[in-house]
Amino acid sequence: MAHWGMVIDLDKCSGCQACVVACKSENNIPFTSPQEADVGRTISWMEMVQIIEGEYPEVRARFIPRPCMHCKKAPCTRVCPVGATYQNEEGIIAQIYARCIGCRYCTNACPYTVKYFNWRPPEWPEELRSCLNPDVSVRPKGVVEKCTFCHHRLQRAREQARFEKRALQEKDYQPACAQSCPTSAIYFGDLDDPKSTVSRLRKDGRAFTLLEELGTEPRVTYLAEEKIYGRAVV
Amino acid sequence: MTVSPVTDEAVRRPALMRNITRRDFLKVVGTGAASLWWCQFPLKHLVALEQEPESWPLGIEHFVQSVCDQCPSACGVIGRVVDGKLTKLDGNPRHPTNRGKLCPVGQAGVQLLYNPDRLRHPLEQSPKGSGQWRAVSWDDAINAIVGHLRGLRSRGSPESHAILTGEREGDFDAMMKRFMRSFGSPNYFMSLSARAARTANFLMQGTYTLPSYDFERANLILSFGAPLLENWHSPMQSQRAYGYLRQARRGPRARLIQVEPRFSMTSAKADQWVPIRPGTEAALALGIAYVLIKEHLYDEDFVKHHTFGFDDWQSADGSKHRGFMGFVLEHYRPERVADITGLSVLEIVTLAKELARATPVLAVGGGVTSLYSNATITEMAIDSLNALLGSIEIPGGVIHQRKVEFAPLPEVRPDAIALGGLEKTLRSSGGESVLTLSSNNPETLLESLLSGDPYRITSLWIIDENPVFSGVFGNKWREALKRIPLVVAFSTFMTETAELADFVLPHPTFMERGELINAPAVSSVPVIGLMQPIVKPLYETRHVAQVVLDIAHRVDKTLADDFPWNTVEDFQGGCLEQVFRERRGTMFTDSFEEEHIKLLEERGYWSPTHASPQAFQDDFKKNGGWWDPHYPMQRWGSVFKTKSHQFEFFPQAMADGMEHAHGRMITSGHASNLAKDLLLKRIGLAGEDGEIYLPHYESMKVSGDQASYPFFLMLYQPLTLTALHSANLPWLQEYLVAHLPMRWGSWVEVNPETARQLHLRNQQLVWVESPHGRVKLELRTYAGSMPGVVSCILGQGHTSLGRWARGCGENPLQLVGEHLDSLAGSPALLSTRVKLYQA
Repeated sequence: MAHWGMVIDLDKCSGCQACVVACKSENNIPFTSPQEADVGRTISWMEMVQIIEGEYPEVRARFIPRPCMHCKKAPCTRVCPVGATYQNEEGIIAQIYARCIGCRYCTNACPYTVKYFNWRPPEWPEELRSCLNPDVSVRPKGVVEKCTFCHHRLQRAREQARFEKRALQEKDYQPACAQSCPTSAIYFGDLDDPKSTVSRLRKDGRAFTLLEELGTEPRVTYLAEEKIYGRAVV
Repeated sequence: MTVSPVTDEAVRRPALMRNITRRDFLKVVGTGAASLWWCQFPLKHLVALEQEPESWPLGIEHFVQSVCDQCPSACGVIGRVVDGKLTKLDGNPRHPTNRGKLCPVGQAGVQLLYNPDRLRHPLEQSPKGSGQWRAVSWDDAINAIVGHLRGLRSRGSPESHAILTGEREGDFDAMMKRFMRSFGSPNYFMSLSARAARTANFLMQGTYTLPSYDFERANLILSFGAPLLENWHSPMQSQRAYGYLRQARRGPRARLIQVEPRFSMTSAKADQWVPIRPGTEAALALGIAYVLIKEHLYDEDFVKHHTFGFDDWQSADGSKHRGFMGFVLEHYRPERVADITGLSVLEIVTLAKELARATPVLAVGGGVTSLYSNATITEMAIDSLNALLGSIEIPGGVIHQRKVEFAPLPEVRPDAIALGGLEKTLRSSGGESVLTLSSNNPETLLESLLSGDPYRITSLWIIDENPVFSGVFGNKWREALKRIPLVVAFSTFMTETAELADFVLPHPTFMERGELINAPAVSSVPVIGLMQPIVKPLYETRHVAQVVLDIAHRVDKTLADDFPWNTVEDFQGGCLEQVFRERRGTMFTDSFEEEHIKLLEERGYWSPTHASPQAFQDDFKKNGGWWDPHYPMQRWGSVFKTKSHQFEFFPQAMADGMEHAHGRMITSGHASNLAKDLLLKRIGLAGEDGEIYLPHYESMKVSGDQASYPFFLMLYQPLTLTALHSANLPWLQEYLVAHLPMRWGSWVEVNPETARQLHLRNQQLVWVESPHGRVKLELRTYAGSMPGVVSCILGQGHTSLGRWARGCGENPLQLVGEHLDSLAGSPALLSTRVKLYQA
């Protein structure tokens, strides 16, 4: 059984947010009004985190696309009182909306703040409902939602492979963010396969994970920027 | 996800419908993520429904390839259509511009298509500006327009009809030009981006387009404020190149140095950021040129064989002219440049030496530097660096795209009335026109709309363009539109401009119409993409090209004869026949075939793949487009279209233009020396040491003095607000910029230290005031702001357009004065100083 993981090369990332919008579009994530956005209720399974440091002219900026880390030792799954969030056999942290009671223990437990609570029922003007993705359910008010590594795409790819009577290949399955990335900074694949690009890149000298010290063992790895001269990061 | 074969017919049933086991079912429900999925197939197998709805969604899915129209770069897209509804736009892996990738603006196309604020049927407003709209039928609207046009023709004044359109190249553009030529009006105007960069390219290299850059093979990119990672002219091209240069290319790592007064996304991701005093970029470029020349670091071979005006020279009439070398060596010592730019001498010299060492290198302008009042001469100074370093027509240098210009046969035969009208261009008949080198300039149109000089424009079509909102002349446009008897706006939304029209005709989005799009020259190779309807038109919209065709058929016989096509598709067939006759290039291919075709073409082979134009056309439709991956370098005979057929440090076109304008002024009664002064004043150049033609530095025009207005206002358009209707697409409003956590609105970015000195806090409301007006904005401290410079985003503050755009943020253009870069004739958006105080 494959274990899916992601590598994001921050050296290539241009911070354009194509991944963010791709995710919104693929996963039927409702947009929020300006008023709700002001109180921090925008839902972004994939979010561009900015870190601006230093003082003019020695300014340093980092832009980090942040999906769910799909931790091997996920803090969120341990606190869920009803087993609504759990780690499936392929290492994807899943969320069963019908089981979620909205206690938000998991949103508080997640050190990466990738779990979002639905404060309102999802709403779209009638016309905009046409572009909802029929592969992904719309989440009701009162449940927590999160990045699923576009798990429906995996199911689809698996069905397709079965239909074609062949084994599932790594290239059959790619989340929407990785597909759209203009600079090809997002890699996705099987961490169990030592020959896969993600396995190779995880051993790169530039590789790091977010909040490594917490021991969550994320399946999303970053590659640091490689600035040689000038006002450099790292 | 792999993309299934992308043909129209590639219809397949959803996987789950084929066979389903109990285990699968539980798994689907168990993971939750896809729990809606099982709603798609007949539920009676699982749960007994009392009555099956009549129109139960079947979940039938197909993919359509097309071309995005959110910006002129025309990336390839694939639309995923389920049960006739577009659910997602992805990049088309076979399209050479974006190779399967798609920017956020392109992806937000689905919110454009299904936007609840779209116009649904033709509207008539009477009286104009009253806001009283009445739905009319297409026939009535077209009858009114045809009646008006017939009147113009019968009165012998076809020149009184004008068209203003947004930037787009392809069959639409060809049809409009053809219509205007046949009708007899020279007044076809297109709002082009970066006009100063185009003008500079025209003056020095002879082509009025943006230069193309071979980023992938350059070792160093010195960008003078080019927004390569933001709203560059072809954002996918530059972003893909960036990703490639960063980690994918073998060999030494390429560097990106960003010279810009603002710590933009490009500055942040560059290897080095050079914060420069706004408007002094030309001085830096010439300071670098000084070091290159002084230390003999420039490409002497290139300069000797392919440039004009480097050394001192003598013209045919015996007058002596100073060369670029002598001029630069005299005026641009690094010490002086350091004073002007605020950089240190060491920084300037280091930059020059790095450039010389790293060849091939690229000096890129066309962004920030095109928005000052000294834009054209600044762009010229930047261009000269490419010539000095020999970075023209080499891998990793500036190249000149060989486009296919659409002009389908038969040729237009304008009648006597039309020929009379075509001669009366606004500028040639204007008494005291400004020397403007650009060919079609909306400001020229505006000027004569207001003055009624040299003649009145009585009919204006505005196609997918919003000058009332998006330019500094918004109020003037508002005024001008009121005076025109018949204004027709072709628009997808009720924009600020459309509100002032007599008729508003709903235009389909790019997901509902068919068009051939010629990628802009900035993409290095010619690419012609096929835009085709992904879904059926949602509303009573009609493609402008079809409307124009219908109008042409009905105005009179001359026009009808010039348009022997019944549908837009027939006209496109004519355009494609031209491509067929080019005898080069290939249909869209994957990357592997691309290499193969390049290899063949480099060796002079080309296999005639199609027997007839019809076969070519069919194949074109199947493949979604045509392109020519091979670019033959250094065909010097056809590279520079200047007078000398060389790169001109001394642009003879400019000198001749001045001479011509001077002559005209003398004929109209000015004394020779006074005429010259007046002319210089009009083009806004003082020259340095009497030298106005060579690239030089001049301080820009600014509204507001430094004492009362201590901050220079940098306006910038983030990638998300690039498209005409961006502001009404919620996804783009939610993720406006990446460098600040800001959504839905606008703000002013200030250096934290500056804010402290002004006793202003982060997130506080402040007034930003210039001599022209003031707006209330939220203050955001941003470490990347230069002291003395504040920034604000452009594209917000709509008063119309739709529910999400209206009232979201402020339009900072109300702060900006009406300065022009007179050489290019383009408005100088960066020309304002402001002060900040508590609101």
